[in-house]
Amino acid sequence: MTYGESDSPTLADVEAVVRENVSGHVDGDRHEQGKQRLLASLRHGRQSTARQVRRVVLLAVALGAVAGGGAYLWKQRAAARLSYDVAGGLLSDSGYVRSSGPSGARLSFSDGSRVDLQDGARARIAAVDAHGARLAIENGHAALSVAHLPGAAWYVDAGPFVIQVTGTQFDVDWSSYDDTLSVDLHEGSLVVSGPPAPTGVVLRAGQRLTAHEGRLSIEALELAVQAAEAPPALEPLPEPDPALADPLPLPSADPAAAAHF
Amino acid sequence: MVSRPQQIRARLVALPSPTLAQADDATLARAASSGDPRATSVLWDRFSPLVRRMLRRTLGPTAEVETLVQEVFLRALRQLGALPDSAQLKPFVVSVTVRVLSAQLKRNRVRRLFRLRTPWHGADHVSSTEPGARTALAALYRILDGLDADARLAFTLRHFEGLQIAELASATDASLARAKRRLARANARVQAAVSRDAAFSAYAHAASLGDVP
Repeated sequence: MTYGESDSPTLADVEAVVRENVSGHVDGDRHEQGKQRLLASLRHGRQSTARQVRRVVLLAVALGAVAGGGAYLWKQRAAARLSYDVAGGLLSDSGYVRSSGPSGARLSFSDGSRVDLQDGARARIAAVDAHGARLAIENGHAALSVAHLPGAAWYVDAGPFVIQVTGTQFDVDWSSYDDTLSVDLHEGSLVVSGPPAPTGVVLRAGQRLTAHEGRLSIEALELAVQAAEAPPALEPLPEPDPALADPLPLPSADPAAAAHF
Repeated sequence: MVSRPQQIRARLVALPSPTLAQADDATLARAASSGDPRATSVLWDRFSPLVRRMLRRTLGPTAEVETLVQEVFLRALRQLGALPDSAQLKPFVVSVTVRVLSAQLKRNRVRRLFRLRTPWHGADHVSSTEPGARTALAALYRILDGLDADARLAFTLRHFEGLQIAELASATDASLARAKRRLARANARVQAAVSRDAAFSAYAHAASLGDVP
């Protein structure tokens, strides 16, 4: 014993009581048990690590496969052209479409868009891609319903005019005999460009655009229909409403040109 | 009724290697870090008494020590690969033990704050069977429970394990000056507390007179 002899214990007494009574010794069995427990933990840890590595690799492979498959499908879909078929009409190899009966012809596209050609109307499918098509109305009346999808891009050519569509319902009437274009817009909006409006004019739902002899006018569709149905001798055609026109900015901004180009 | 033959499963047992048992620290560290179970076995034989003693003397002879011994070895074996060849294993094992101890002391302090820790009994690992020694140890570890983790580590490593101030600073990742300040603070508090503690004083007095076995 190395304890001090004073009444008050010292730090040396504290050291002594611990050093003499607390050791790190255990019997042989407990020592061996501890060793086996450690070795077992190490084995288990290595197995767990290997399992985790396998899981991570499998997960990475699965994610890669899903991502690759998704990218492939997306690319395929993006690259795939819209398909279409014709009912009630004739379709030539060059894309020329003509109705074969009094009920007209219907063009149905794989994205859900439809084009109904009235009896006697003629059109040509100029181009088709993954996002839309370019149709040329050669003569007659066509009712279009274009599916509003992301990235949709449709164009309708009528003589010198081009109608740019993203998703809407409208009727197009083009007369190649007197070069008259009429567009009735029922839903959405579209842009019509041509010689009277080279930069294009925006047409909104409920409006009718008429182009004839180098002049372009826009009026409310309802008024235009009423005027068309009324006897010409009793009621004059209403004047075009300049307020309904919504032209795109033109280099020479003439307010009168908004209604008459 | 046909009795099924008893299945006999082979079990690998890591036998101590005579070569590794006498190997220097660097060789042993390399072998253990490469996953050689014989090296792990030698490491356990060589250092587990030291680790267990440090844990018991710092925390008190409590039942949770064996789990902590395992934790020290698992940590040490994970870190052995990064140990330079020239480094000595013993200081490395001591430093790992100190880190485990520091974390455990902080956990224990939180538990005491919320009164979650079971009372200290001290029956299992006290070599003396003398009741006075048990009482004195119980009193001492109650006093040590009042110190913060850093001060307690400084006190136990210096006084119970005999580390020099420089070793103490190195093991606790502290500067020399900070290690000295911690130790001085701990010395003062323990000295004052044991002087006031009747049970510890009585035991120390009896021991000084040779009245304890």
